[in-house]
Amino acid sequence: MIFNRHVTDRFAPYLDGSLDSRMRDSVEAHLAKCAECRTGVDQVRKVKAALQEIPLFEAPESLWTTIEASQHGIGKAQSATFPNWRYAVAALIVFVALLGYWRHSRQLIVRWEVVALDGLPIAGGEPIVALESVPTGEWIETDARSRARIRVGEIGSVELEPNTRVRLMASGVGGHRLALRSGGISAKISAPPRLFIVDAPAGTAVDLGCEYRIHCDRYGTGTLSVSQGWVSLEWLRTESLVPAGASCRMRAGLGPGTPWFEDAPTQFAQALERFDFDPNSALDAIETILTYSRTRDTLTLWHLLSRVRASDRPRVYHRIVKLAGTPAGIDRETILNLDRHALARWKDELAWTW
Amino acid sequence: MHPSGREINAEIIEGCRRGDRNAVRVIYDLYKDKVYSIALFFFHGDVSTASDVTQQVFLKLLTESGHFRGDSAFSTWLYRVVLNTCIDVARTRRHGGLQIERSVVEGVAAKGSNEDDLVKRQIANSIQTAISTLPQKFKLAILLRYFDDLSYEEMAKVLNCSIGTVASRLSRGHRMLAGKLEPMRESLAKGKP
Amino acid sequence: MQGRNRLADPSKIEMYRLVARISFALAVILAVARAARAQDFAIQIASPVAAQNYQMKRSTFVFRTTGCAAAVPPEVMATAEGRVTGQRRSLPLKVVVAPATGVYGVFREWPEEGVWIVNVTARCASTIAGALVATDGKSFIRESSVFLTHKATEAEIEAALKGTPRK
Repeated sequence: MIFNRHVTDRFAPYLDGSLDSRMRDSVEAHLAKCAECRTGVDQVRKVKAALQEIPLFEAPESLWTTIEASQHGIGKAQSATFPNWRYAVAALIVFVALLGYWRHSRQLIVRWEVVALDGLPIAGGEPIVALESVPTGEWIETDARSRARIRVGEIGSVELEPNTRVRLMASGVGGHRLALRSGGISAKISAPPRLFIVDAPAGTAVDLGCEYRIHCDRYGTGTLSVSQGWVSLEWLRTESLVPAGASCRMRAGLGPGTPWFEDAPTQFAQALERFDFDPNSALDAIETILTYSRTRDTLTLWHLLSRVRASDRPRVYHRIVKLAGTPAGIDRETILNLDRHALARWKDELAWTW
Repeated sequence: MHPSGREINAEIIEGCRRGDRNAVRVIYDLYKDKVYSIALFFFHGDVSTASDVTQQVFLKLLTESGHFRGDSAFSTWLYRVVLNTCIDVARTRRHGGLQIERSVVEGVAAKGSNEDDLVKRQIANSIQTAISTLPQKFKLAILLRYFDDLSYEEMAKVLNCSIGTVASRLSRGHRMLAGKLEPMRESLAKGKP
Repeated sequence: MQGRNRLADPSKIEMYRLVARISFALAVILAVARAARAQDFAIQIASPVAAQNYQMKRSTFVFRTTGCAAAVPPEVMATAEGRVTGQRRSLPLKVVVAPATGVYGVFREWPEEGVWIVNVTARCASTIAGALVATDGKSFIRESSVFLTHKATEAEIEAALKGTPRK
């Protein structure tokens, strides 16, 4: 029996016409005798034809704007390092030109459109009668009878409730930022994640694409409630993921609490508040939380895994498993050791029960 | 296949090295959709990651085009940047994305819509999924071949391997795709022009 | 001509009987496994956060299929089924797909008035799964949703509409 080596590794170049004549003749001679390879070539031919139909996808229009903005930053950094005096002069000229461009572009892009919805909200000490273009850095304030709406670039808007004070911190291609000092705002944002951020005294709400309301008093105590999408509420090294239908409290000096679904049993919600903000009640609060938790409350329980003491962690783990099971490939020990990747994978699976 | 942009001349390359915005814009206009499409397929249709990768590639063009020594075609160098960026981002990110409107699957075909268009869209969806699930080295070979019609020689330089290895990866990649698309054999046959 | 019939050899008859029994047992096992796999194919629904992608955030809900062993993604479709001022209505819906995670999003394309559910059907090779997802304005109501191992019938749709809480 003569050994007849298949030509499977040459299907593509054969069909592409990329083989030299000697190799091509050799492949064709083999194909004449080998039905298996003929079938293989036919399969590859069909796939090639299908792949020819794949369209090019258009890159988003806004990409060039972002690249250009970064290019100016790069140009500025590079010009500052040239040691030669000629280059130093050129750098100075570039710097002055860039400074002029920067100041000009600041005037163009970092004003916020603010509309008075009710009464006379104040911007930079002046009343807003109807519509005002307010520069970054200014405060917007409403009293008991006024409300306002701030347009956030091209990505959405924020409504200020009565008795609210916010500061316009930054606005541009890299994102938009507000600081909420007190009162309440409702945000409706439609953008890629992390382009809209609200700094509250006890937590930073990082938009991941959503609608939400955040309210706090002047000491920083407040609540974030999400009605659509989800928000990451962050403070120092604590992060709370708050999806639609859920809320999260914040306390000055303590940061965000643990998120919970608003339709959870009252005992559950009250116990959670004690756990988050009253260290003396934490132990018996955990028992109540576990007792009254439902399947979708695994949102809360998942967050608690990294917030309870190590000795309490197995109880939380077992409750989650009882309610929602464990997905394949996630080891109990890695969860109890708070392995970041295992926790993230489990969260992704648990999200299907929320 | 998509015609390759071979219009990059020495003047444009020199302009890129100097950080000339207009020169970079020429290259951007020629290659943006190809780079974006490669990244989109590489990252399973994840629009935001594909945008990030595209952005990083052209920013690297600004900062690193001085490293281009002219010992290969500029496109070869550019695609190497694309591949390395995809691989670097893949190491650090999770993926899970949404295809853009081309991949919207219409719920009902029967109410006056074009059934052939629906079949073609579903085929395109399936092909895109199948490519996304290929092992990295086969996926890269397929994407380079079909999004910029690179020759085997150019692909060998981009992928830093021999021409024989390119041939093998393309052949095996096609056969893997054939296996993944086997249940759609009839539809594929119909969808052919 | 010898006229010898090899099948008359007793030891060979026994061997053929054994092979036949084993083949039958294998066929039964395969059939049961196939049936079990068919039962595994199902639709799972969740709120948009499960999609992990901001472009899904305005969806009413997302869904995925489980238990589909085919190499090609399952075919899915969705319609909004409603009753508005006593009149029965049905609207085709656009299902937005994320291929890598196999997650699909359903966005609200039905009117505010009336009671609406979303009828989702998925096909994996020859196996079908269905779901009747109750909705309330912006979101879905998990407790009132029904999951099926077949395409929903008109009677099941009617029952689901009746069982959906009014806003």
